[in-house]
Formats: sequence, C-alpha cells, structure tokens
Amino acid sequence: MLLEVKNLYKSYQLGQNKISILQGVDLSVAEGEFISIMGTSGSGKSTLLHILGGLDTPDKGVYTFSTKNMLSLSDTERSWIRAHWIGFVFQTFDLLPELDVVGNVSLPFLYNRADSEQSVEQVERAIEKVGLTHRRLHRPLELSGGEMQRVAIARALAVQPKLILADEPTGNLDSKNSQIILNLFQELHLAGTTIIMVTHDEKVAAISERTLHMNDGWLQ
Amino acid sequence: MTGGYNKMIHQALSFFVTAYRSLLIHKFRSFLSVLGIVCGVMAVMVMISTGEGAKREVLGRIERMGLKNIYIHDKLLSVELQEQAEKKKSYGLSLFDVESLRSLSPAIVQVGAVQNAALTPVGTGIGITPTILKCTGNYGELLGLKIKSGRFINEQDSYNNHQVCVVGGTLAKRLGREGRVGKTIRINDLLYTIVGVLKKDDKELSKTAKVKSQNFNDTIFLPLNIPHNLTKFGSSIERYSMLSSVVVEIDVRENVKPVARLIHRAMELSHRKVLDYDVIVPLELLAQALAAQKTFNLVLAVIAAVSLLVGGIGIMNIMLATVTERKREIGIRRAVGATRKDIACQFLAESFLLTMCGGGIGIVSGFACVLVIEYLAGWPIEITAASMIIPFVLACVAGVFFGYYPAVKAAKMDPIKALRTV
Repeated sequence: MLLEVKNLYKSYQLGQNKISILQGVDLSVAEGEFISIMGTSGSGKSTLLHILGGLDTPDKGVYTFSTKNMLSLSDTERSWIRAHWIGFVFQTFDLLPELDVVGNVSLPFLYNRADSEQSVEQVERAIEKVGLTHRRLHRPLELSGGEMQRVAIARALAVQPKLILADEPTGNLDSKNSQIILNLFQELHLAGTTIIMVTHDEKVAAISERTLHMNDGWLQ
Repeated sequence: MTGGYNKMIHQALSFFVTAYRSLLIHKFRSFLSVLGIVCGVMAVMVMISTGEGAKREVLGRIERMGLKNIYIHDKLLSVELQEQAEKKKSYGLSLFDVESLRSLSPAIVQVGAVQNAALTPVGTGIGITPTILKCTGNYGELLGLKIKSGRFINEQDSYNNHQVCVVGGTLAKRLGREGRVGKTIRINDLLYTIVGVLKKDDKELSKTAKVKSQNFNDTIFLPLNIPHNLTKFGSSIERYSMLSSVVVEIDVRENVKPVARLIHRAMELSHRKVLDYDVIVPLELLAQALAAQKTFNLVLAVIAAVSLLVGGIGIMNIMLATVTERKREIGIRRAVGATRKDIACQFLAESFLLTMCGGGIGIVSGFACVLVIEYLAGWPIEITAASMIIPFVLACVAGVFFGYYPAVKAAKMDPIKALRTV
C-alpha cells in the first residue's frame, strides 16, 4: 500500500458550533491506483485531500504514507515529503502570475534537494508531456484556462511524485479542455502514477479505476 | 556535500530574484516604503560627514598650535579692571614673565615671546597692510614655521637688536623682486634687511573662539629686543613692554598638564591675581574637542537610531501588507513543498533587499547633499568610508530586524487558509 488512512476525524470550530467534517474515514490506496472521491460541496473531500498532502492535520486517526507515519512528522518533514513525493493540482490552477511557464513548473525544485541540471531536464520533459513547449516562456495571464491547468499538472508531475492529488481539476474548465486534462490524467495513470482526484462530476469520476463517495464524513 | 552547498546558494539567489521581482511589481510602493530609510541614511551620512569635517578642522588647528606648547595671551582689560590692575602693579604680559617662566620648571624647554608692533612699512605699494610682529629667536621653531629661503630670526638678532626681518609667503610674492632675501623693507625710519622668506601657508584663517588659527602669510617678523641684563625685579620699562603672547614649550606631553598648573599659579602670583592674561593649553583644548566630539557622536547615534527606527517601521508596515496580499502565493509555495523557513527567508530577503536599495539610494543622495552643503554653506566636509558604510549597514540591519516579524507571520500562516484566500 502506498498510503493507508484509518479512522480519521476532523472538525472545525465555526463560531459556537463545532462542525464535524471527517468522522472516521478509512482509505487505503495501492501504488499505481487511480481513485476518484465524489461528494457534495462541503462534504469534506478537500479537507481529506489536504490531510493526505500533509497540508492539514486531523484531530484523530492514523495516516501512513509510504511507510511513514505522517501524523508524527514535523511541519518541515511534511514539507519535504510534499516537495519530493506529492504533487498538487487545484481547481483554480494556482500558478504564480509573475512567473512564466518554466518558472512555475520549476517552483517545486526550489524547495527540493534535486540537483539543478537534472531538474531543468525534468521541467522541460514535464512541459513537453502536457504539450506546452511552444508556450514555455508565456505568463499565466497569456494562457487559456485549459493551458493553465496543464501547467499546474506539469508542475505536479515534474518532481516525479509518488502521488498526485487533484482537487476538482476540471471544475473551472469547459468540456473540451476538461477532456484534455482527463486524458492527461489517464496517461499519467497508465505510466504508473498514483492519482487521487476529488470531483463532484460523475463523468469525470468515470475515468478512474475506483470511485468512492463521501457522505456525512464517511467514505463509501 | 558541495552539491548541498551549491543548492543553498542557488536557493538564496532565487529568494533574492523572487524578492526583486515582487518589488518591481510595485515599483512606486516599494520606493515610497523605503523613503524613510533613504532619508535616515542620508541624514546620518550628512551628519557624520559634517561632524567629521568640523572635527578635522578643529583638531588640525589645535595640532598646529603644538600639543607640547602652552600659550599665554595678553588680555585687554576694561577701564575699571585696568585701574584695578594698575593699583596692584600688574602691567600685562611682559618680558619679565618670559624670564620668570623660563626657570619655573625643568620640564620647560624654551620660552618664546611675540609682540604685536603697531607699525606699518613705508612705500611698499602692495595694497595690503602687513601685520608686524616682533618675536624672539625661537618663535619660528616653537610654532613650526616653514622657511622657503634664508633663515628665521635668531637669538643673536634678538640680543643684538639686528635690523633684519622675515616676511610671510604671500607678502613676499606681492613684493616680487623686492621681497627676496637681501632686499630691504622700510618701517618707520628704519631699514630692515630681509633674511628669510616663509613658505606660503594655505590653511585658511579662522577666528573661532579660543582656537584662533594663525597663518603668517601677510606678516613681517622683526626681532624682539631682549636686554642682556634682565633682572628679577626688572626695570619699569621691561615691565611695561607689553607682549601679545608668550609660548612655552614643554619637554614631553605628560608634563604639559602639571606645568600648566604651575604656570597658572606663578602667573597668578606675579600678576597679583589680576587676570590680564589667558593661559591656553592646546592639549587641553584637544581633550575638550574630543569630549565634545563624543557628545556629538552620541547625539548622532540617537538621531540615527530614531531615523532608522522610523524607516524600519515603514518597512515593517509595507511588509505586513505584502504578506497579507500574498497569502495565496504563500499557500501555493507551501503546497509545492516550501517549509516555514523557506517562506520566512523569502520575505526576509525582500525586506533586506528593500532596505539595501534604500541604503544605496540614501548614500548616493547623501553624497549629493554633502557636496551641496559644502558648496553653499562652505562647511568643512569630510566624506569618510565610515560615513557611508555605517548608515548602509544600519539600514540593512534594520531591514532584517523589522522584516523579521512580517516574515515570521508569513511563515506561520496556515497553508489551508492561505490557499482559500481569493
């Protein structure tokens, strides 16, 4: 198993009310799997994804990623894991507007101990993979939504991560661009990358091997 | 290991590149935010330069007086005091004082005297009125006067009342052919042969209280006649022969203070407590000047601290705004693997770069400011390396110091909240 989650609880304090988001989530993902998690908005899909990426911590539970007990690691160690093993793709693309495509895709290498010659090569290969070599020196504002999301995917896969976490990657795209993005995920999956994708769209979820549903803080 | 080291340099460099880029995005805002630092650095630089200039001038003047010398200047008295002085039989500075000072202490090497002779040369036709001073033969040596040609007045001239003179550099030049060694100058009814010409002294005349700087460019020196048989009691003529000042040379610096005290006491006794003289000790003036400089430096440090504090708060303010504005960027960077330390370093680099640029601009404008002051006000200015390096370094330190809190705030930001910010 690449990652294993057991009995995960997470709640937020909203004013006087305590809102329970995750109520005992169990999940295990094998290496190379392509999983999609479906659920209505506010069901806790994104929170789960953030915990899996080490950006957030649960109140209770067990989370093992690549034999490491993620919940006992320090913030710095979790950052290290993100920089080397995990790639994020967000709904809103989240590129840095002042950097061009190459700059954005190189971003993880700034925080990663990879040697710079090799990383330049990896960046170029990732940009080529998403088919944006001709746009490599453009800034995000000069790109279309679909192209921006492809840059974000290139950024996520450039470090050759063990896991890609995608949060509604097609949420802001039209159907044509969505298809391009999904095809890319499909390709990555075939190449052996483990992918966990959050979506509320049945059609999008259909391309994954396994679809899980988030209901009332439970994963089914 | 070297790979890790290279990586660190690469990382630091990219922090600065990022910082530079984000500062460029808000050029005008960045400029406004460093204005405080710019003004602070400029002010500190101007103050150090003018302070240093004034210090150099005063110290130079004092040193020219000779740190092993003690001067006793004649002091003009008011009419009432004059009457009092006559009652007490004190008639101002006289050769008698010279004679008694000479044997006052074994630490006294020699005593010289100078008298301002109210005379004017006749028929030189050079348009300036030279000062005519009568001096003892050792006066030139005591004041360290430099001879261009010939010799200074010597003891023999003094004792034998030779009719010789030494002329100042500017005067000699004005006199032209007539101002050379061997020519004569007529003063009243007497002809004086020029035996020496002084080097021109290009130090400016300055009339700051107490520390008068002298130059003798327009002076004619005549020998001061000293009678052979000056007795302890002296004739009334000797007592009346008013000197304008007496110079006492002490053997070593350590003895200057005790001998000065001795001179004070001896003068008080012989002048019967009539203060018709001033004792000036350059070494003490130097100490005073240095003490004043210390006070000035303290004031300077306080002003520097205040201005950099104000400038630094400006930086902190803008950095806090930047951190809030760039929450999303912080979230993205955390998501791709930046540690808290990475984020803190990035913002620190930014405030450091900001104040460094501010310091640079401050130094350039301070330089311009100093030159303008020198040109317009004519103040003595001394631009030292310290006057540039100190404010610059302080500005950079202020950048790190005041950038620290915003940087920590950025680092502590919850990545989830940062990512949710629109």
